[in-house]
Amino acid sequence: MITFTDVSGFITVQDGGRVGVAHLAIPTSGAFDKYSHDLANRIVGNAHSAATVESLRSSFSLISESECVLAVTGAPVNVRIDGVQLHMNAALHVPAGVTVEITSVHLAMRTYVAVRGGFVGDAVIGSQSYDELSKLGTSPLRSGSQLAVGNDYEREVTSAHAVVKGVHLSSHFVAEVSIGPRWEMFPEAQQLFSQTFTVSGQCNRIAVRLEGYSFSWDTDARLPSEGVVYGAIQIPVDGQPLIFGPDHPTTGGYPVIGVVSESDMSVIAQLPPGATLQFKRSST
Amino acid sequence: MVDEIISIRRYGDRAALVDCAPSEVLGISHALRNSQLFVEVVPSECSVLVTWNAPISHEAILEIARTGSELKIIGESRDVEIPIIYDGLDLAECANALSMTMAELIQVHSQTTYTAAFAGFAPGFLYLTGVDSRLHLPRRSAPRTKVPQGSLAMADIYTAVYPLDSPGGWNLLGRTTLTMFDAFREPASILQPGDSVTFVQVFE
Repeated sequence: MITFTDVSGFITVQDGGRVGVAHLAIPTSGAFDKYSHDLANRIVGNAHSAATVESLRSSFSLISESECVLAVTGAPVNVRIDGVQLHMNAALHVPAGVTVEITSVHLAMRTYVAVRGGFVGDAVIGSQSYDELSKLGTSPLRSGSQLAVGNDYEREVTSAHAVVKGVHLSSHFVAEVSIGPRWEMFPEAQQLFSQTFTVSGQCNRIAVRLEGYSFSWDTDARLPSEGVVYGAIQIPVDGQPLIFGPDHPTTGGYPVIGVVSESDMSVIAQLPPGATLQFKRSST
Repeated sequence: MVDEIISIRRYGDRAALVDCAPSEVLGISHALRNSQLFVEVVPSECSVLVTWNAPISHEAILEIARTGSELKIIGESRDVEIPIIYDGLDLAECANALSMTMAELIQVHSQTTYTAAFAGFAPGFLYLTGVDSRLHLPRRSAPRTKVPQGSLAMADIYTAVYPLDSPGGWNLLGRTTLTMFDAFREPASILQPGDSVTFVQVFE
């Protein structure tokens, strides 16, 4: 059992999400920065399906009642065990009963903590992931929350001396985008590839909202609602693009101009408010 | 003929959108789901979204979709009866707007067999089609901030039961005591796309 203390902020349990239920309007959910989630699991030898803890610019401590192996990836944090600062993106062997302190340095957005065997919270509809839109899954962690440790591992732990490459972090990013289903509804669609957008303060696991260029389209032409995907760039009535995150609604009534490649979504998950974003057309 | 209606749109590297007529959505979804080639098959008003892990050509998707477009009867269609207490907040206003009595409205609404066409808005929220044209009304001009779980409502060409407490702009006709969606239950949702649905009037 692992106990979380001194929790400040938004910390959730995330795994691969609820797959195959979008036709019931149940969002997929799951880790936002899949690269860092997978990396944390890989370092501790877990299966892909193991649940990690996703921390949004939050600080917290954890104590394990038995010896465990942790990995911390994603947005930079200070990791201290008994006051000694340790590496991110590496296996951390943690003795029983020792406090691990994780302090956000507010550089990027989402930090992932994996434990060898995976965290075990409350699973519903095949996943523990907390879904911010539908409020399904393991409740966000509070001080005193406890999670069990599972046995969802399949490989040896990475060498404790190996520090692997973390997710790309920067305040400016050029994301690869392919054409979306309603590209032709925008007379100025090409602007998607020439403008620079700014990440707004209105971002969550449902969507990353962008500011800057405003796309015009015939908002009187009623578009029937249609299925949407992770990474879809939707243009609402105000013309300001938003990019759908893992907790996006399964259908939407505004046109989708493009789709960010899945690998680049991990970088977008880490862009803080004020970061700038450009799009380039996918070669595929 | 069919080929003129069905078309396919690119949707990034791992999805495509099949555009079709509303009457074809369920058959096409059924065929695409049965192929077991897709991660998600998401029907909507007049399209079906498919997502995949292993790449598949647009031609192959269209070929499967065409086999479903003319399906009239779906083998797995289930009949679901939902008991309703017709005491909704908007019942009188709706009857008035439709120039009928409340009893007539209830009779028409409860004597129709609906089709669960597609889900959206919230987990387990199924848009039911087949509403008698005499009952078509627009949604309310000002949505309510909270519609209670189990509320039966209608708007435009649809009727539905709100599975969870949520905001909502549809006209409220009544309520069911069934729990339409429960994440801890298997299956979580009482309704799924393709179901035939009838509402049975009950009294408290």
